[in-house]
Amino acid sequence: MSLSGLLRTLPTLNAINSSLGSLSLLSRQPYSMYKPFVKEPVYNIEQLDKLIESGEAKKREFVPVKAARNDHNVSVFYDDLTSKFINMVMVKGQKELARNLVEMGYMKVKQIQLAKYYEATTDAERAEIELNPITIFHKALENCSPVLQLTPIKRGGSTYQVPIPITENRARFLAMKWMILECREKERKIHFPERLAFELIDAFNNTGKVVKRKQDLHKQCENNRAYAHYRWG
Amino acid sequence: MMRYSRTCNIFRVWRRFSSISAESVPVTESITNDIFRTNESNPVNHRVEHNSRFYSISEPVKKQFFAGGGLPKEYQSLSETLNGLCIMVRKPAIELIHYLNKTNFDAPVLRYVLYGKTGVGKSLSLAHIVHYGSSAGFVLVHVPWVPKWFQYVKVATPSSVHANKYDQPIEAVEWLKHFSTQNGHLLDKLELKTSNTYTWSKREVTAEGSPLSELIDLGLNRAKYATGCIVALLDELKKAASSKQCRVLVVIDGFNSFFSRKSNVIREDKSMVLPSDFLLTDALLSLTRNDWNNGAVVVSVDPSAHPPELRESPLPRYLLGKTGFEHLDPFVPIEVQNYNDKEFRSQIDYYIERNWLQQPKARTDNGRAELSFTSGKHPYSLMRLVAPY
Repeated sequence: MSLSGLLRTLPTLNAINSSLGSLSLLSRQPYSMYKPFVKEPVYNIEQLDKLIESGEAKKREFVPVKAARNDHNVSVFYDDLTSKFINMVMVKGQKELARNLVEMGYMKVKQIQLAKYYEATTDAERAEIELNPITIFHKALENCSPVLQLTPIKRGGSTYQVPIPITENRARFLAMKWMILECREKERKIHFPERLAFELIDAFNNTGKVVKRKQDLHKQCENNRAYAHYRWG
Repeated sequence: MMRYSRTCNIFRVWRRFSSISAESVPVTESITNDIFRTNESNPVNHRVEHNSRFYSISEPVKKQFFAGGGLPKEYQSLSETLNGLCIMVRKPAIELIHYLNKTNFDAPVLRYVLYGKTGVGKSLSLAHIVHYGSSAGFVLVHVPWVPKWFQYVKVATPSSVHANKYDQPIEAVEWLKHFSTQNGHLLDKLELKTSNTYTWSKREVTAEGSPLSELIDLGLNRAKYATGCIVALLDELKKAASSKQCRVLVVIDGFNSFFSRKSNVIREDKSMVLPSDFLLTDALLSLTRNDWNNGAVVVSVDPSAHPPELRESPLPRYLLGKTGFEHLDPFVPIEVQNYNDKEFRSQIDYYIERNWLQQPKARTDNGRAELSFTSGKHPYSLMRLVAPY
């Protein structure tokens, strides 16, 4: 049997663990082509050096590793979150377009921040202005990530929206999703990159529509805290 | 300002200016032990020593020379973001400045042709020469981007002056405005007069001996005669230059477009109007002929000035075609190349100093090596790579 055969399984639908369909969010298995023991590749040169130094590399020598992805690279400009974001912006496999849109967005962020920077008169003011678009992006995502989420749980004929904890991945996904949806809203006179820039800067300053959406979700969770025990039946 | 370190080595420390503006021409901390700026803002004095250094152009100068075009769009918006227009002094411009300084103005006009791949810095070199030209006292005839006259013509009307030719009223008025902004003060000082009578219609006549500014004003006010005015104006300038009344510098970007086989103007019978059918083409081709003296002609040929099918080679013979080449021959070809190591380092230093290249990893030697490789030291590619980060 080939190596790829060893590593991959035929796609099967995993049985949902809980008899209560409502917990499906938590118990649904990721749909992976690889068997569980196959490791993620480490392609970052600094991380590789660390592994070699610490001796971890020796242990990994004969462990099978997943295939390299197209967007993983050792460029000095590579950022994991940005890569994920570009993938989420992408529609119909148009990766280049998605990448260009996000990169234009970053350029606009820099333009807006630099305009503020060169208008500022004192060193103190200048020190406060963040110019790095990636830093702004990370902080914006942080500010937009919810801490709880609502899930529909059926009890006695009616469905309740119950607040439950959220995983890091899910929180990050929601932040990115909301950001993208906001940038695609209504009037298309302002194009995606400009809207993305405005939304990112707003979210960085903890204002704007995406942060509001997160805060609305938190409020709803707070309102429904009485139903929290439904999580356990 | 000298500082002493503990090891008693002397370091030269440059004062950091607190207000960052192009006006004060800040000299900042040296980034790679090499100075990438120069204080010399008069292009007449630019020499080999200023190679790969940025010199800044003040806001009023920029408005005067480039309001009607001349700077590539992306570069202009980038310069606005970076709080000041700075152009790198590079070999082609220095070479041209040297030649122009040493020209024998009694001999027939010399033609210089800048060539190179798209995005390599020809337009900016021409912008540098435009600035030089005015500082050196030339009357500037500057066409910022020729394809704009043929690919995006708004209105084309049959010419009032010449039977088989076409006018471009809107483009002509725009160009006359550009010309008068660039040369305003100089023309007033020179007091050039027309040598012929120009009859535009029964009532509109420009008499012999009237000042050239009258001609320009007529063109600005009457779009119908604007193209004719330009033809007359360029004719007069040629004569004035030959009779030593003024010195004319012709700067044209995208010259090969005059010999292109496409325009966006279509006649009623669906036949295309070629660039050679326009009156403005004739005017400028006459001006770029070497049958006058006391001037210079600097021209650029660019693949992007041709339609996509004709962009195979960046070389002048291919781009100009047989007619174009025979028109310009003999000319001095000046190649504009990708950045060399020094220019590349200087460009990155400039981006870092202006806070444009933000990623900390990209500012390291590793980052520079990566940028050098991925951009191939091609100026435009480098600009696009650095833009988002």
